[in-house]
Amino acid sequence: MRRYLMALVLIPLLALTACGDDDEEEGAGGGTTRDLAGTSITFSISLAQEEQAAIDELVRQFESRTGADVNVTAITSSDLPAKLRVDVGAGRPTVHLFAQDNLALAVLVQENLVEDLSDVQLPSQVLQAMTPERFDGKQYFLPFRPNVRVAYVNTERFGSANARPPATADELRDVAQKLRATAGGPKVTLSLAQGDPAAVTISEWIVSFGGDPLILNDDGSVRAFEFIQGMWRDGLLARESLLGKFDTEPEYLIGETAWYAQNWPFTTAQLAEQGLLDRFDVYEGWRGPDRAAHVIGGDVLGIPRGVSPDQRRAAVELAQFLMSKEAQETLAERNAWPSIRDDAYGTVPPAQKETFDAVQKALSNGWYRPNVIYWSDVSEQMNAAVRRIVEGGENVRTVLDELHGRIETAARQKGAQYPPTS
Amino acid sequence: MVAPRRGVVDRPRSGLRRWFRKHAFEIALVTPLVVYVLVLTLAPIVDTIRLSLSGPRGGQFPSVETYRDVLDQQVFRTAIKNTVIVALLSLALELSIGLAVALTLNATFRFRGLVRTLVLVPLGVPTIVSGAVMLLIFSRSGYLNSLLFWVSDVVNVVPGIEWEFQPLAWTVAGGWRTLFTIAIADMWKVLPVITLIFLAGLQSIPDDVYEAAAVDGATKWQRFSRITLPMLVPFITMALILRAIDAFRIFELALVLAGRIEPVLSTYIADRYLPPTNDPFTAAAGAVVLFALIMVFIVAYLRFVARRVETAR
Amino acid sequence: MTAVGRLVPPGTGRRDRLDRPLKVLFPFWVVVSALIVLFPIYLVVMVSVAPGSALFGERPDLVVTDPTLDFWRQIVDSGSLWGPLTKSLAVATLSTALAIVVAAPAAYVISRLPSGLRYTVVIGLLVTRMFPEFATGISVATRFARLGLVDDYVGLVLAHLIGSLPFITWILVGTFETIPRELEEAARIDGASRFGTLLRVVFPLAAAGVAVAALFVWLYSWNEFLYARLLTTNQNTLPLEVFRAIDRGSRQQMATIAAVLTLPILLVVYFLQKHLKPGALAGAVKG
Repeated sequence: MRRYLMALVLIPLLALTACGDDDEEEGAGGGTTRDLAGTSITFSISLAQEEQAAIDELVRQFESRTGADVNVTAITSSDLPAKLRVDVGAGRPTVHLFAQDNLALAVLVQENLVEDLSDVQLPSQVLQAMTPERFDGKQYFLPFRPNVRVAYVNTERFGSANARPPATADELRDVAQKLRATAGGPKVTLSLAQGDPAAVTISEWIVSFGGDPLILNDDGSVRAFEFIQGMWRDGLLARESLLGKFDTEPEYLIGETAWYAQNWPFTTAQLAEQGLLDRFDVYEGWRGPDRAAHVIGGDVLGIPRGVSPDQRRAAVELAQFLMSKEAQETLAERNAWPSIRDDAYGTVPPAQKETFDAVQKALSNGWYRPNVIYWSDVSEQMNAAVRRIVEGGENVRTVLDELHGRIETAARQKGAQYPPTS
Repeated sequence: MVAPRRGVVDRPRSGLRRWFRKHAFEIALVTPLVVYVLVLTLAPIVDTIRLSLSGPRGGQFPSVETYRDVLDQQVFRTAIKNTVIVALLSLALELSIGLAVALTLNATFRFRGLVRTLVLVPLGVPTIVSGAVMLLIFSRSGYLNSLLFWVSDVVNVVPGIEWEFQPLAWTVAGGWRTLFTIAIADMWKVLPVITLIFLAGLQSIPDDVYEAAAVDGATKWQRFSRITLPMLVPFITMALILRAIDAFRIFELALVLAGRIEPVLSTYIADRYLPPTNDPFTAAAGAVVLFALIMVFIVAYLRFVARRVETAR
Repeated sequence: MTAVGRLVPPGTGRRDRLDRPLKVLFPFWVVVSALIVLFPIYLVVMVSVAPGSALFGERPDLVVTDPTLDFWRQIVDSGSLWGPLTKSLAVATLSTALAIVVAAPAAYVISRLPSGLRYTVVIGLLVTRMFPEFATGISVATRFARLGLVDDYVGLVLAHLIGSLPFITWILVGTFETIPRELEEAARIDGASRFGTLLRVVFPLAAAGVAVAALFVWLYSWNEFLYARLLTTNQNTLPLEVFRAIDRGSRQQMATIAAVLTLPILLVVYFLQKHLKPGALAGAVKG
């Protein structure tokens, strides 16, 4: 399992070693000829409203350069597989390029819903660590945008509670206690909503305590769960945690349900839009006894199976434009998105600077979700553990032993080696 | 235009063919509707039942495996329990408040027309919007708590009273609080309907009954409990059964306000059918259970209510 | 407020113990209940123009002192409103038109049936309206998905007809019943064909009733959420857009889109007021 932990994203280091020496992809991405005139494609990307404007702008640029007609639509990551199933089944794709959550790719490949894009050359400046996972040696997805969660602190409330942003798990508990004493109720939320949010949060906890989510009953996992269970039992975590996910956390922060919460960085844009960003500090978050761990999420690009050759060409060109230095810099400047490239450092606006730095620091402690075919089972059991251990207060060791058994059975059934070799 | 009447009443003596020819016009007029109801209402129900009997993940047919699966799930049993609790809670609230509002509007007072119009307002609010608003009201940093904070401030001005208000997370608290918010939201939404039903009932009571009672010296309370209430019983039954049928189907409000915290039958079904679960088979089984529950009330509706409505027409 | 005595009409007998408390409490009760009924509407409008600072914290402001139109501007400028608005308008209008075309002729025939049979048919139609939408919806959605009718106007129009046809038929039967048969017979004697009679004599007389029924089914389709949810992945209708804002957007975005959905309806309902009979409501409105 060390192998997974070693897949760290050391951006500064890689930035030094990877030398960009060719410029050929600028032409490929944003070609100035209007060679795609008359081709019409649909690009699906589901973002917070605040982040949409930059994408729209890039798409308009692409349109005016290539003559292609691009329609932007928003299919959420959970709806996308169903949409593609219908489209591919009917043999008439209505989406020609999509950006999809990199935690939800396996199903698209398993059900044969996406084009093999092995023929598409990635720009050489794309960081090695940002290249999406391959399936059976084939490249189905193109890198677009890495993402990690960072921590948001209600500055004024922390001041009145005499608390400082926690740097370790123990400090997190102390801070939660101080906040509780000041407010009379819990003021920390964890994103534990059923599904991916709980899986991401629990993965980070387990890894930062030195455990392996694939095993789920090793010492690190047990310590992590005992820690969370303790915080829950002591009333240090708001009950809203059970509904906590990327889109509820900003609401919790604005409504002061949480004075401290971790979330994906689009939160910054939302707070800024409400004119509330100056009330919050943003930093990379606490670290566990073993290490700091941030699940690397974000979006990759793919093309549904069965698009016409013309549309495939236009979709690939749009993808290449989105991977270009120019587009990546725009996204850094407008949305404070970290880049997949070593050469794209847009000037981040001052308001977003704090977030951008926090993201870079968190990325350097990034953790890639392992590419095993039984991940959905691991995720399901982590969710079960949240319900039973955190919410239900059951014995940690007993429950985790049982859930470990279930993961083992599922892994063997699917023909995977278990326990995973490290 | 006496033809269709006679045709249907009299048994056709000279065969089906003649009957068809004679009524070709009428048949042509009703065919689209009949086809529609058959193809897109009755057939889908049969199909849903078939899906629910198809075994797990569409295995062999028929099989009750899916039903066993569903009934084994804790969340499904909770969903049934919650559905019943929400129905009872909201019925109690709606009938009592609806009656009070109807009595109010039945009295004559200045601005009655205006008040009647205002009471009808929720009728024009889409259910999903009332869900959104109730979320604004009942969340931890919502407007109900804001109002209660304000009340506690006022109360604390009185010397000797110290009440530090702790904001409540109504919707995510789970248990009765969450179900209560659903019932309140539902009540707000359907108050106009209940009020209008009761208002029709009140207006159907002849004035001379009250006059006779007044002559006999009955008090207001006696007139209410001995005349108004008994004569309203058919209308109460009608409202009760109609609302029960709707309460079992409650979807948008429960989805928005309770989500996964407290499932009801409809949200359970949607959860099974939609991504990421994508399981039409357990969803179908849930839908059939819901259908069966509602059928019980439809039968009750036909026995107790439909006849009265017909005679009232 | 002098007529409080008529709370239980019309007895004007002796004063009793309830008179005094009723007289005092009645105005309060009327005002408070009217306020409670209106509060949610007020909230939608108020939050849609609230700046972030008014929503911050555990005690959001009940009154906005510095309203902003930023969120209205945003929703108009971003263009994300037009797709759902168009779809909602198109689906509601198309399904209403189709409902009338299919239901009106059938309702006419039903209205001319002998009363026992007529009653059975009408109740039968009403009963299908009480079926849970999921019982039909699960099958309809899986089939439509295979036919490529998901995210399609046609699919949603067809689904909305499931709910609106029985209802509009029921109302129209009542309308046609009131049109005397003698008029038709007179037209027939003048040499009109049966279809011509229907088109030129019966339907024009029923126009007002058809219009009211049409408004009801239009409203139903405009507000409908469940079928839309099952049959949509990305071409949202307005109610779905409200749900998306509940799930993902800020409070103001949610309130703004909710206001866009609601305000036109309030006007329609205002004009429909006098047609709101309890019987009609029983069929038209579900909670």
